[in-house]
Amino acid sequence: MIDIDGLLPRVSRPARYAGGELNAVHKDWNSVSTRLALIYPDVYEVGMSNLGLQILYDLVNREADFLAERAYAPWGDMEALMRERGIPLFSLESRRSLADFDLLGISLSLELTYTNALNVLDLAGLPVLAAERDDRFPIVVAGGSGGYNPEPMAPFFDLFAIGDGEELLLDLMRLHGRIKGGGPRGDRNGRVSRVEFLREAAKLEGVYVPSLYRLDDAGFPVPLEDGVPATIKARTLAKLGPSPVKPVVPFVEAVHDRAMVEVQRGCTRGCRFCQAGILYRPVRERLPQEVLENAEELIANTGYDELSLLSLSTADYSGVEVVTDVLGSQYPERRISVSLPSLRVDSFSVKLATALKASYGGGITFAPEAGSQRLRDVINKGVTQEDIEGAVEAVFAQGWHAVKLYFMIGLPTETDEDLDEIVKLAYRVRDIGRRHSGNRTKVKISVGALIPKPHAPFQWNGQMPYSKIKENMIRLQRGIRGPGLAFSWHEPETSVLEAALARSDRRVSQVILRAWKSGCRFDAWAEQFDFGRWRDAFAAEGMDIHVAAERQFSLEERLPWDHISTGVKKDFLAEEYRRSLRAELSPDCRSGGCLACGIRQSYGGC
Amino acid sequence: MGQRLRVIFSRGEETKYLSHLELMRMWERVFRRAGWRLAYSHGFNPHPHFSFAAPLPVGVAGEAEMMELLLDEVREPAEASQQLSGHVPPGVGVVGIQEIPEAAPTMQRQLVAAEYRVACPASASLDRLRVEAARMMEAATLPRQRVREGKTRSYDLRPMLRYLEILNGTENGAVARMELRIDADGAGRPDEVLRELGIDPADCRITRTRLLMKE
Repeated sequence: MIDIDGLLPRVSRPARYAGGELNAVHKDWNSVSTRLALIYPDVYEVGMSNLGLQILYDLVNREADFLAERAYAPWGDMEALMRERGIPLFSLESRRSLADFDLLGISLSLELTYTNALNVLDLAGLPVLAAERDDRFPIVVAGGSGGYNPEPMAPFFDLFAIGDGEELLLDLMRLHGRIKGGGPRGDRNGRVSRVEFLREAAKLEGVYVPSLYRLDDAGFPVPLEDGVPATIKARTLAKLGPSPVKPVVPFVEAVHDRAMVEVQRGCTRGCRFCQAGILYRPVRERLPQEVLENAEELIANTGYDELSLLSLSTADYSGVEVVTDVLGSQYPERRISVSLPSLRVDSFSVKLATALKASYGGGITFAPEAGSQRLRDVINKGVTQEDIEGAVEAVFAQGWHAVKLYFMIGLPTETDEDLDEIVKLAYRVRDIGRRHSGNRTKVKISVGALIPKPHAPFQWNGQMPYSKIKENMIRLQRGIRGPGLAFSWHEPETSVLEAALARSDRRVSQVILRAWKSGCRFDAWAEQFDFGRWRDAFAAEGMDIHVAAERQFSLEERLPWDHISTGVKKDFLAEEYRRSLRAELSPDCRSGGCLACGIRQSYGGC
Repeated sequence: MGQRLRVIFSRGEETKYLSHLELMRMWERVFRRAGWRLAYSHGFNPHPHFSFAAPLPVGVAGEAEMMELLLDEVREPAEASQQLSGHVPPGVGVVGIQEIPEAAPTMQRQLVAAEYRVACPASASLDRLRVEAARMMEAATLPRQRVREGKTRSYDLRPMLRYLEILNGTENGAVARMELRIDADGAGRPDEVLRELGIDPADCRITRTRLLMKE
């Protein structure tokens, strides 16, 4: 056990590193065959909010022969002290060095955590390049949506687990245990041959092992041997696994500090900018009875006073009315609030929120995404002016005084008129609010730039040039001012970096390595983010961050992530992109008929 | 029917780094898990009526801390203590529960002093600490300066120090025992006593062993 008593009195928020939380699982190190550290490469409060890691922690620790512990990226003050004293990054449960584990599972979902992922490996005492790690080191696995374009991070990971992680992670651990068991008896601390492990792992559906591929002249990965797939198909669960009903309860307030039940995975609305809507197909629902039982167990096991019903679009969940009726009639009087994140923009959603007597202290948030009907049709948002006004009307009529509206700029075909429609909508919403709430009305408009992510229909579309994003933000800011109105925007610089990393091929890995070496950390944190340093890192590798972000792909060319298959056909995405440019809507396939996206064939149903 | 209860609790190594706010949130969750019916304040943002005798500084363990709460029900103290023990996280212990008359003065008004035990670093010599402790106890004043939020404040530590002794520790370092005054003007700080002794509080293991009430 690493002694951290000398460190914690000297750092901010020391409870981040102390462990000892309720429901943390402490297993006997020597009683299991395979040990996994689950790592979120951001600070504790962010990592502890991640439901995906809670699910995996629960599943692995249910297995008698495995253990899972947690680790997060230390904040700068802690990092400095650890480096000064030669203390490696450790797990919260057993306080062992991460280098002692068999497998490190790093959640890779946000590009802005990529430098932290490298820093985590380095702090654990591992070479950051997979090629420099031999059998003494743990096998480093990436999970999460970042794996859908693995190339930017490919040199740093031994393996990418792509798709739903539940079965896949257990498959990997079983494989590891089997290979280890084949070694000397009783040698439970021995290492397996990573070459052998990786070769076997590459045969599992959803696994990408970069070292088993070479790059062809055009820079695309090609299998080096038989049995290694040319195209890696993401793993998809037929049915959602059990909810974690005894999650670790943090002492330090997490960003999402509440009980969470995933009511449904996947979304069929078909918004054309949305990556998650493609990655998590098909829709898989949890039965209402199970949701209610999970909620009850969660509250009893954690003591949380807030419950969140999670999905990409909870109002589309078929059991939503049953669940909200029951919870709404019981939970408020027990002082437990229930929240529905990602509300749809319509009065039905407001009705649900009302049934839950949800407090939504900061007001209800809707995401119309675009100001004009034409542009909302381009992105296939499926929301009309009447939907927006109806939703807002219902919110203020129910006694809320604040509404937050989220918009995106830099959408394909966008013109100044579309931007001016955002301004008009802001005033229109304020007027509606004033009829109910008078001068207490607060309308917050928040704007971010489109980041065209891999596998979404807009993947071919280059990001709007940086200078134009800034110009448009200022245009909106000038338009949206006055009593009852507030305007805020996401920093365009971080959006540029996200696009440049998300849309690039293997070459950008050298940029990431260089940026990390030059001191980039916690890029998602405004006060830590250093755009200049990133721009320099691109330049030093002979690239341009803006060119990378703004690159327009042709529909015919091969994309850097084409070797990863979500099960959705590229033809379908291309057709959606073409339709978007003509402002043609596509229906929600749950109600409007099958659009032949490919999921039905690739997974035999949806 | 309501009730005012005082919970005596400990916090150990795993939980000593919690801030006061984090500790309060922890207790709210403990009571919800235990199924207790807390009395809540009225108003827009209702909260339970918790009060703590004296907040513990971050990094300081406690053996007999005190908190009081108001219930919307009545519980038998011994039974309540045992039941609550089943719902606290690993680093927290329920030492006991007492029923307090609702009209009794607040704990803050009854509190007079706190006792601490400090495991000093092995590098600090026992003899030198004894000399320093004797000097401090004999001094008429111990002028010190404290920097808080960028402002330096001068004050006298001596009146806050009721006693200080240095013992031979069971581990490899010396042990300091001290009793520090608490009154309306503030509480004596163990880290300040340690600095006056010439050791860095961050190198010590500090435990508050007892809170002393007026009687």
